[in-house]
Amino acid sequence: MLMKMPPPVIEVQDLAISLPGGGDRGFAVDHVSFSVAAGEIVCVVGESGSGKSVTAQSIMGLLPKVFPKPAGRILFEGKDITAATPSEMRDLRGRGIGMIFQEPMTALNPVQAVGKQIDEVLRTHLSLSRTERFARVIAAMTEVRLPDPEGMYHAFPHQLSGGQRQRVLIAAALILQPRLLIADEPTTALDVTTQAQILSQIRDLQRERGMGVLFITHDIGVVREIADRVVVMKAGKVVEHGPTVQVLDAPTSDYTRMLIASVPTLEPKRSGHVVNGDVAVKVDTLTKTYHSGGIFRDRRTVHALQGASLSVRRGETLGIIGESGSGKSTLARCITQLIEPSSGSVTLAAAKNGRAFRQRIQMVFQDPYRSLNPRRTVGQSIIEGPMNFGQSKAEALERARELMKLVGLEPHAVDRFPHQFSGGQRQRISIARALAMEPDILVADEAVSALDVSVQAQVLRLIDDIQKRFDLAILFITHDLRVAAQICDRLIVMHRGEVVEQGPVSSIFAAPVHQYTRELLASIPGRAEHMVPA
Amino acid sequence: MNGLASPTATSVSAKPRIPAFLLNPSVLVGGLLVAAIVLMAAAAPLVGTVDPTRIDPAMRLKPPSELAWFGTDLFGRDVYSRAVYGARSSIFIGLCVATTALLTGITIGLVTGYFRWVDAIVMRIMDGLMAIPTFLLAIALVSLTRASIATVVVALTIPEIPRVVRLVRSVVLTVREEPFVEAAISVGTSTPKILLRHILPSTYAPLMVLGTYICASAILIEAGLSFLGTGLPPEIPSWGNMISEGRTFFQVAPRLVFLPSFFLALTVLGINLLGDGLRDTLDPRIAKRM
Repeated sequence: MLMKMPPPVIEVQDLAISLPGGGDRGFAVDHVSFSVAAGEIVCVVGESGSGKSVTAQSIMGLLPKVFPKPAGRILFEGKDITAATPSEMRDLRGRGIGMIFQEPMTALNPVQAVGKQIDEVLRTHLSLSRTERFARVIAAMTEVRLPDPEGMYHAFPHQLSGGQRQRVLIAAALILQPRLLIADEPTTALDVTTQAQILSQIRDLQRERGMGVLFITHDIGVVREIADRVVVMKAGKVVEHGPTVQVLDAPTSDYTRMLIASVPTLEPKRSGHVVNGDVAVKVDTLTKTYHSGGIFRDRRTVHALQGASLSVRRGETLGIIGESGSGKSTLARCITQLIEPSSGSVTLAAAKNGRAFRQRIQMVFQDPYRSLNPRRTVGQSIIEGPMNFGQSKAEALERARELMKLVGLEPHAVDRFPHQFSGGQRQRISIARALAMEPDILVADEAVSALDVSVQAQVLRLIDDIQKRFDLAILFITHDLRVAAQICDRLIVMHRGEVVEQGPVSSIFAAPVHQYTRELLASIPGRAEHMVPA
Repeated sequence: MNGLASPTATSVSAKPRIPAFLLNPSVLVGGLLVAAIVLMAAAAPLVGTVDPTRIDPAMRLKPPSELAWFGTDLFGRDVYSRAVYGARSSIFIGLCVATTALLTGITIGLVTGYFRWVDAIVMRIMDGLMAIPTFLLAIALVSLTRASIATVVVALTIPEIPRVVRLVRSVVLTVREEPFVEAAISVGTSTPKILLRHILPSTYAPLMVLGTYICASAILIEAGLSFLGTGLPPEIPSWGNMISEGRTFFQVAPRLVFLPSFFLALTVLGINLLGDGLRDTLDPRIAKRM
């Protein structure tokens, strides 16, 4: 270590938290040590189940009750806080340590004005007059660049966007000038453009105040963007730690190398891929308008989709890119006839031997934990479709076993239930279910978004592989441009229900025309290092 | 929370498991009580009883003896036998009301929950039904037709249906938005199959709980109706009838009221314990809803 290190704000020494009730490993956090100095951002990075959140919770003294008391020491400015009383911890949280969470909607009370919720921190910890408190809240809201703080003081969480809610939480966490900020995946639920803003804001505030930041994330791009030092965790253990540049550019452990290699790059993978299949599906000026309200209320009209047109050929992957609320999922659901479009048409190529619409177009859903019926075996889920169209059970099951093998799972696992599989395995099962219908067109709606990067890479390879094998036309919906670069031939960029730009991946990435596309590209975390030089 | 690693497919073996709810103490105690009463009702002719409807004027209001363990009533009928046979009426009515209410409620609930246009109309009718007091409805029905088991079952079932409908509907409203339902639609599964195969199973746990409550309340209300004389015809042995008839002689022969009251209390206690235990183990959320 260097000589002139500033004293650490938080120092975790040999922290061990055992996992209750016979899991697949003994410790949730397995003898972990690291520290955060004043004025530095330390990123704890790891995939789900690595123990990074549990570590953060134990620092805050907010460990869920299922866990036993942690062993080891946690020193806050040299004082061991594992032995602190609940009231000491309460005082420490807020004044000493601030925390922001992943889900800005659920972390705020929906029935209280946001200003009041920031004010609550002041009321709990300080005795100030009402006017003093109001001034401090407004100052804090101004500091996190919330527009019109006086007006927004009285707004309720649902009236704010995701990014604004996260700013409110940051304001509340920082209003007492804590020496340490713990941020647990604070940008994971946000769109990339918002994520970029929040990250730069955290960085600025940290520099201004010289506080320490413990930043928990699964995203290597985010790490590259803001971290001074990195701690890589896997299965409760620290596998590597050191300065960001060193860990990311010259990783010493295999796991870190794998983690970094799994992060998709922005380099279009398919620039050499020639598509000459027939047009499989043609979508013409599809619109979807929602009306809310009724006889007793004002009617509100939402244009979820405004005249989207596209076509996909066999063997081609068309990416639909957009942030939340851009209408990309609405488009997917209209194309697959899960919802009725308000106007426009979806035309499939002429059917061979009269196959039905539902046989020819299939969908893979986002959430691998909810897209399979938990009460039915995966075999039952896979054979449901073919049996709807008259295949015998024995025949369908035989095919299901073949498909399980094709997607890289044990054929006899058809008798198991979804909870016995991991997220990535479940997504493979969903793909097998879609393939069982022998579709011409596959619609993948954020099919890899819920997966860890290493699993994501495997599932992307599988999708690529089945496309070649079955000559599928694929509509790939994603918010992640890096994923799109891996698998798509062409892209459609959607913004507020409209298609704002379309073209081959390489040309969109190299020369984005629309302002929004440029913004989207600029917001990708850790991008500078990864971009192909122009 | 980040979610701990879920078990991989290889680490879990498929073996039959004992449902956790059977190990809950109140399920055990309640279940045993209910089982004992049901057994008694089923084996009524075999547990030392005589014909519960045989009238013997010479034997009126006799104290307990070897022939009649709990004595005889105003018409010389054996109190013990009537009480044991009375279990049959109570349990029959409890089960009938619970099953009819559940089956009707499930059907209406599934349809209203899934088809939004039906919802507005049917739920208003359900609100209306809920406003009818059970006792008044029973009295009205009995005076229109005549006292019989069927009348009582109908009168008790109607006000219970809306409760079942509301529960089923609320489950359907949540489950139908699940991606696995969308997945089923997109592989071409028909709507009735989706309702029965993918949505209905989610209602089983809360319905088991609600079913026990309906059963217990039906038994109690039947006893109340019979006590008021608007329930079962007086010749049918039922706990309500017995308490009603014994009431006049309560001061000289409290035993007439004691045995049926004891059985009634025991049955309702057993069913409620069972229901509470099931609620705690199967569906903690329903506790807040009720």
